[in-house]
Amino acid sequence: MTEEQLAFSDATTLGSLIAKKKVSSVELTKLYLARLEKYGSTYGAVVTIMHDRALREARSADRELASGTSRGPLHGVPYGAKDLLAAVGAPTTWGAAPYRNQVFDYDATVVQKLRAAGAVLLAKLAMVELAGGFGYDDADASFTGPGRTPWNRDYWSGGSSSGPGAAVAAGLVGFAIGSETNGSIMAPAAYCGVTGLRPTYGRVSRHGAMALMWTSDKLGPMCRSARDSELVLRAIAGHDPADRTSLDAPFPKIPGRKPKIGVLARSTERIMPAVASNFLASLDVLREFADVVTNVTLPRGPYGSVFEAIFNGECASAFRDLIESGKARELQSTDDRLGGYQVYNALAVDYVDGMRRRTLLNEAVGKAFAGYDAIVHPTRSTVSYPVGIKFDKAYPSKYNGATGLGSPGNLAGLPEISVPNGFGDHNLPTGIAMMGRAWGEMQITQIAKAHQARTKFHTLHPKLVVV
Amino acid sequence: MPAPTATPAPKKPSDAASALAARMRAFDPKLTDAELATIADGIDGNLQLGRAVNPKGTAIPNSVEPATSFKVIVS
Repeated sequence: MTEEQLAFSDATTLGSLIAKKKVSSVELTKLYLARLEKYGSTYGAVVTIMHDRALREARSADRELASGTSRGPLHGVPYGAKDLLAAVGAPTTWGAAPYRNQVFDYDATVVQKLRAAGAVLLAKLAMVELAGGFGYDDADASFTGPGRTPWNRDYWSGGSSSGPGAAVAAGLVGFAIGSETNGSIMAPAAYCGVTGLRPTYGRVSRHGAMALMWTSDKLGPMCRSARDSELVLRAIAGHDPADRTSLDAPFPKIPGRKPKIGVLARSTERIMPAVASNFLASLDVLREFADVVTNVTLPRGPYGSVFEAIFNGECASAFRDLIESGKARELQSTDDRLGGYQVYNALAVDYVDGMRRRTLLNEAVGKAFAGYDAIVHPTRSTVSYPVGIKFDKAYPSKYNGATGLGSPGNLAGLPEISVPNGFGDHNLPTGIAMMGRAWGEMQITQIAKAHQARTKFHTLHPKLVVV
Repeated sequence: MPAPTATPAPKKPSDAASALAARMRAFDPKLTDAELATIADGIDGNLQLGRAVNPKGTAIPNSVEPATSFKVIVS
């Protein structure tokens, strides 16, 4: 196996190679550290490379293995963490200049759990500043510069988990941890051609992660295969006393019958032709092993407005210090410099009404989708946006950006996985998203694995450049 | 090619939104008049949000509680 093949292997393969002593964790860690140094800035993927900590953890993993101790399938596998996760040994910048020197003296719970599983922390990965909290409107919205998709660096890697998406796609890490409040794992997964899993709200502790919207923030894996997503999720899931919303929810057994998949109505309207044709081809793949029901309708909203009303209140509270300090002026995106003042002036009654309307909407969504193992739709309506152009000027307005289940799924805290399903304009990847029932991550992962067993898109990787 | 249409003049923010926006200079005295107008425009958006959350004819019943509820802590 060449170094290139090794770098682009999925985490499951890497863990197996380490366990069989075909490669050591130190060798793999050195390979990824070199690739992060070589390619990281070209793709705007990295904030801090953690050489000392990574090599220390890798040596420890190798020593344990030599003495006959294995911590499981991720033992010795190197990974990267979105830079909103606290980790000893590096600043935690939240992607934003006002926080570029912020240091925490503890590891976020997911970092602790991955350490316990034997994984090796390589780097803090780039992100959109404040995870997009203040309303950025182009790719240049991080103090480390725009994230760029490895498939075509003139285009954005998506946000807000821009670094995890790019680093996984470019083979700079074995896997990564991203976060999603409303699309921040799904969008970069689609734009970078990787597999992203947004867990059920409460499945994974957020202790040590930047808060943006407490009632919607989730942490999840971004990987080169669906089977990796399952491995990583199992390692980071579970109750944590430091996060009162986290639960020890079981992973329900997958039923022995064919999965039942609903196709969201009007999924191929108002989207790019290539995104539509790739989605239709994916449906044909799904029909090979599942019962596929078309034209499943989403109960009437208003989802976007309700999400915004809740978001405004929680985001303003989370960043009140920053807003009142006047330091929002230091943010990269011109929109972000002013957006905080807008959310700061949101009305309390709209927040509470939003949370009350959310109760009704979540009940309706749960009821409408109860008979399905997954509801599918194109992850995004377009391929990625060009760097240097405002999002709303990039494509005709008829392509409306997010597709139908972004706000409904996140308001309800439901899990979703996005897998690559082809390419569109400018050699840019597209994705299909599969939303599951609460705690149904294994069902949607199983469907994603079956899709990937019949397609090769997740095994393709981009030709990298150095700029 | 569609017939050219006149670009609509930017809508002037409401007095209420402009007044709230002006208060933000207490946090950042460097905010320009144009930036305050942008902030005021966003605040007007906030003011319309309540209507969007409560579309006509779909009042939230009085008994519906927020999605997260207060719980007493038993010590």
